[in-house]
Amino acid sequence: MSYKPHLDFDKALLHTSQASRHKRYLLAAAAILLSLYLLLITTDTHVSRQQLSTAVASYSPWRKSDRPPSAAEIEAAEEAEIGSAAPFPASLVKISETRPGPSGDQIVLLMASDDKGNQGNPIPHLHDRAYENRKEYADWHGMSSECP
Amino acid sequence: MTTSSSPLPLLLLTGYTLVDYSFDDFPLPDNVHPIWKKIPAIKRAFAANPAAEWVLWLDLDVILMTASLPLSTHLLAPSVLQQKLLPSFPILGSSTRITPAAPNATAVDLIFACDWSGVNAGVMLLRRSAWTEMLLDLWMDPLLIAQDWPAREQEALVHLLDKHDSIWDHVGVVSQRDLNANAFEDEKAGWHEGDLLVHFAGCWVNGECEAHWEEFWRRRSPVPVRYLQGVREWA
Repeated sequence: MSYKPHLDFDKALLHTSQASRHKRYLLAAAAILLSLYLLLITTDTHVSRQQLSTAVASYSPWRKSDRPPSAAEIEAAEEAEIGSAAPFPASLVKISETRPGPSGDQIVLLMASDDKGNQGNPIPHLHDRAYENRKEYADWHGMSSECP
Repeated sequence: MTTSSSPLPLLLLTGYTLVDYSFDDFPLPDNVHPIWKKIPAIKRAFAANPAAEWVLWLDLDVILMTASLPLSTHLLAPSVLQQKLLPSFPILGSSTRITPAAPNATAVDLIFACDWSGVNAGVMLLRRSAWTEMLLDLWMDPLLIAQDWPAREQEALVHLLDKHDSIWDHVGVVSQRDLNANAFEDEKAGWHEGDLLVHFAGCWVNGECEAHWEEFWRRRSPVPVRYLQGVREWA
């Protein structure tokens, strides 16, 4: 009796064994990726107050300004902030306790107007100032608190 | 608060979307007051932002006073909204409605605050839903637009929620200081430090719009300069 069938059988067995090994590798890789993903989503990703400026500096495609504040302005603002009695807003600290709420990209602030203002009692530069006010608010909540 | 050095969270920081439309983009007959254009503007805001679950309509004469207050923890997280919906609260003005004794936050698709005259449609939150789509359609009914109501679209909204249970069932009312504080010294309705915003509704009656605006513009808590600096330098 020729041994050839056995060789074919061995080859087939080898193929099966390789395929099975590949499947195991794939399953192991998938398990590792899943573990990493679970680790990532269960980690609090809020950026601390101290880190925020640096962190934001590495990703900030949001807005342009006529000019950045000068060093003196920043120093004055920080001194005023440090000197004020206002604590770091509790609402930012508590955000993880109240999830799930909408994430930042699920909220739209809407303004629309004909720039004519308040029935004959106009406010100077109303539209521009209202826009500035809302834009700061919208951007701030991208920087600080509303990670999806 | 824990932190992460991973770059991934930064990629996930999206911010609120700010939409600023001109009423010129929403043609209506000349005899229709332009304030009615807020309704098609809301429709377009939903259509143009498919990810948006909530749209916050803000009249121009509103100042966001406390920049650090997120809408989710302030109002929109279900557990928060459930606590802030006013139970058994009578809508004043031309409505005879009283909010349910046990409001259901999950059923609410429209949130506003009432003032002394009843519903105020100058600041309101609308949730994306089939109901909201229906409301925006009904609200623009030519029969409503044709009415000679002093408060125009606001009175039309009052009419809809007052006369139709299917509208009223999706309405949530929160306190005035939560969504529509005014400029006057009043414990329940006037702006207090930490409240989200102030609305100068009716300021034109006594010609106080500019004075109120300037006073509260100075008193607001804007975004700290140091945070904006990072954004602006790298933009």
